Amino acid sequence: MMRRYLAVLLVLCTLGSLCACGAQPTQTEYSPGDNRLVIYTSHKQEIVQPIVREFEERTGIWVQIISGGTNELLDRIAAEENDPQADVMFGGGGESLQACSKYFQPYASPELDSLLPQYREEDRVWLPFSSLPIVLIYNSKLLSAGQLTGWNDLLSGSLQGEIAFADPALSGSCFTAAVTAGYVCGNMEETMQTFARQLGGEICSSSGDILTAVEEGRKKAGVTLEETALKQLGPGSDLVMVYPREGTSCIPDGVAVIRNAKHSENARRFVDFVLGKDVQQLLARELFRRSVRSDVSADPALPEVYAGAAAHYSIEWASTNREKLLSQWAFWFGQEG
Amino acid sequence: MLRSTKFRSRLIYGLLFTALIPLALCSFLILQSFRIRTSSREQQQALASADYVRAAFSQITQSDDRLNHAAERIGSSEVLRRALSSEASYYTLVYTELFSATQEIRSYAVADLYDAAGKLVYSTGNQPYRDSLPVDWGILYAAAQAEGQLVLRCPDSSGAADEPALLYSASIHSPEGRLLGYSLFRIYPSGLQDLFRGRLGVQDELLILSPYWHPVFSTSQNLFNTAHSLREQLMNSGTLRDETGVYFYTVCKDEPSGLFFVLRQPHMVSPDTTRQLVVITVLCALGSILLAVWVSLRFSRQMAKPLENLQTAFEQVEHNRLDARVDESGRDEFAQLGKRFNRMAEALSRNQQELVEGERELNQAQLRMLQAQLNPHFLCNTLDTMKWISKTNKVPQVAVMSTNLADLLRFCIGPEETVPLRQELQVLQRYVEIQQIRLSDRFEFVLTVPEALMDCSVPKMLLQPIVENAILHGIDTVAEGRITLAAFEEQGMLHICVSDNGPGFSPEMTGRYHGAPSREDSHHLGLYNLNTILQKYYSPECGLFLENTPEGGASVTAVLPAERGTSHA
Repeated sequence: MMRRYLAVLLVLCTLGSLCACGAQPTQTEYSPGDNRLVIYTSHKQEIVQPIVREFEERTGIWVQIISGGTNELLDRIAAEENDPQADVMFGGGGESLQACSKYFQPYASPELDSLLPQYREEDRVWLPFSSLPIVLIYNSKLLSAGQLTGWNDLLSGSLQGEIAFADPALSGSCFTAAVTAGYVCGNMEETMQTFARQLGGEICSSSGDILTAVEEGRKKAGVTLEETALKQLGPGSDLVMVYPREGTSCIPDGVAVIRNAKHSENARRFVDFVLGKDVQQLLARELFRRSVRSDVSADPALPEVYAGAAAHYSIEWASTNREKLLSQWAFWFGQEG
Repeated sequence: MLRSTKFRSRLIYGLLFTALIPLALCSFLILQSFRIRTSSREQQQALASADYVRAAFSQITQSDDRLNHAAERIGSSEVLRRALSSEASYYTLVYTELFSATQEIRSYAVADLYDAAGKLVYSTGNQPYRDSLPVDWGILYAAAQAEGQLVLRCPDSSGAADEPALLYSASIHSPEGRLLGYSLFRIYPSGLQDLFRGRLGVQDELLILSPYWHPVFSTSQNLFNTAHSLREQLMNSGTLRDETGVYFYTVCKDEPSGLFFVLRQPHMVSPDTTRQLVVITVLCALGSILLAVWVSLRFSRQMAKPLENLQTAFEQVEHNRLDARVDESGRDEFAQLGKRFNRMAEALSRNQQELVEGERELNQAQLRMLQAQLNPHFLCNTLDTMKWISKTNKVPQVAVMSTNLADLLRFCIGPEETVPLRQELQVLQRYVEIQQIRLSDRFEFVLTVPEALMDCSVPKMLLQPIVENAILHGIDTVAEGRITLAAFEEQGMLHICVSDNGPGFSPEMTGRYHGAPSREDSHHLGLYNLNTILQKYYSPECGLFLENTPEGGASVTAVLPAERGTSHA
């Protein structure tokens, strides 16, 4: 019996070794091993790619980019809590990152001191990457200059059913916009209720659709991020961008090191890099974004953003009350008029 | 037919095993060694051609020297330095200097001069790359960091012909070390294409990757587009694999530049060929399965038929039909088995016949014995009456005879078949007394039986026929007759010997009794029956033995087992 097993074993070994011999050659010698960084990002390719390429060239760290929607990636991070697959979450609004703070590792970057004072929140687990003012847009063929100057024009009722806006539950920027309107106009609930009713029961499928809707004239006006509007503006476009005269918020999007990340040292280097002057200057120069650094001036063509009452915008508050506000919004939105 | 299923399936499995295992093993080994041979050969060839390609690229590495040379010339040219530091320069003079510095490389590279702020000032090409480049970012940043050394950057490229594939740059400094500007050399895909033309096999495709595995250049746009997935594969598993299995990749690194060369070639043995080989193997296996099934069916049918015949014959024998015979033609083991079977059946049938005959004889003997026992009760009563009549009439002999006769008769009609020897002898005495009266005391009867044997059980009326025989034939002719009855035990057998002093047997009669019943010789009928009963009742060794005594008289010995106490039921 024993001998038979031995014979079978011998045959299997021979076959196994033959199989092994037949295997393909590997290129493991060229693989970066642990000299790598895995990034979850909700930024568009045009922002991530140049930054990551430059990061690779300067640090010699190989970067793997995994793109997705903010909520999708945050869900993944939550699911991978015990075995994180990524090292850095790059992108996503401040409120979204704040809501997932337990999955992130606080990091006191040396670049923090160079940031604008309003972004220097040291007890946060995420760090600001770029400042994104909320702006109003309108189609110059459908509205004349002066008809839309601020939040109150939106809420006055004259644009009832003519405002392009996405569902705040899906679009982070629209949520921020609604809360900003509340801050600017005083009474938060009343303002948001009025705002919701102004939409006339119609919303855009995504925040990207807002610009198209206004550009194509389906809607007269809309609310969006300055960066998004700037990319669309230009000769031949009917879009006009307006900074609300009552003031507006500049909520940053962020970057955060994931808790227990496998390459946390590389992740911290990446955070330092994106907060560094070179990247921040690139943002202002080529990517239509405002830097969070005090030593990087925005494109001189862009005006200073007047914050007004929106300066009191509390990311923590908005993040904590998000669920409540959203359910109320859904109710008001359904009321119509 | 189904009874042989188990045997047949064993045969099938056995044949399948012996046919399939070696076939599978052989074809696996052949396929595998074939694959190993071809893959090692193609790997060697691929490495060779990758080296060849790299050697081709080393023209650029050599040209790297040429680029270095050009960069140095630009960096050290007084005219160009002055042109970069101040606005006031002779346009034509600057270009003359620039063209002469870049003479060696202009066949594949375009040279640009940027000032310290990253603004394009001079270019040998007619299509400027960028009017200005950031100095804190990208190639100019790297050049500034390298301080005069030539640096390589691979710009983001979609593989289009009008985008540069490689950018080289070096910073230009004043003799005091002040940064004046940058020289930038652009190499376009067409330049690289020229370099590799004729150096690749017809089916080979080349992909050049940056040190971080971003695509730089490829001879095929399709391969250029797979660069991203190749990078993922490298980072995740360290192995490049083509999902379709058609191609394989060979990678080598160009050390000076850090660039990677990936060669994609089709396998010598395409998956189609492998599939074909596998199909052929499977068909062979199927064929051998069919063959094995067919052969086993044939064999089992050949073997099953005689086996089945034998089985049927055995079944018949089981049901006592002993005339069952099987075909014993042929010379194989089955025919021999058939012969054995036939012989066995014959022996069985013969035995049975003998058994039946013996039984019939026994029955006949018993019948005859019974026939002899005529309505005895009536006779007994009559004899008793006779006894009383004779007593009243004072004829004592009649009284004695009738008493004895009545005892004898009563004993005869008793229900038991065997009796103790003692009782048998008592009854025998009665019989002898009767005979003595009949023959007027012409003989004497001597009984010498040891007391120890008195309890042996014997068949009822065993001795009467023997003694009768002695009286009738033994002492008939002598005046002073003498009949002796002796008994002894030898080897568990009881011998009862009745001898007389008569003329004895004729010599041919001595030995084991072997008479046959005959109507004419009714005297011997008693002995014949007795012999038959002893043989059939006990065993063939028992029976009667005849001999003559030394005095010349006859002696009849009944031999039977010496059983004590119990009487046969």
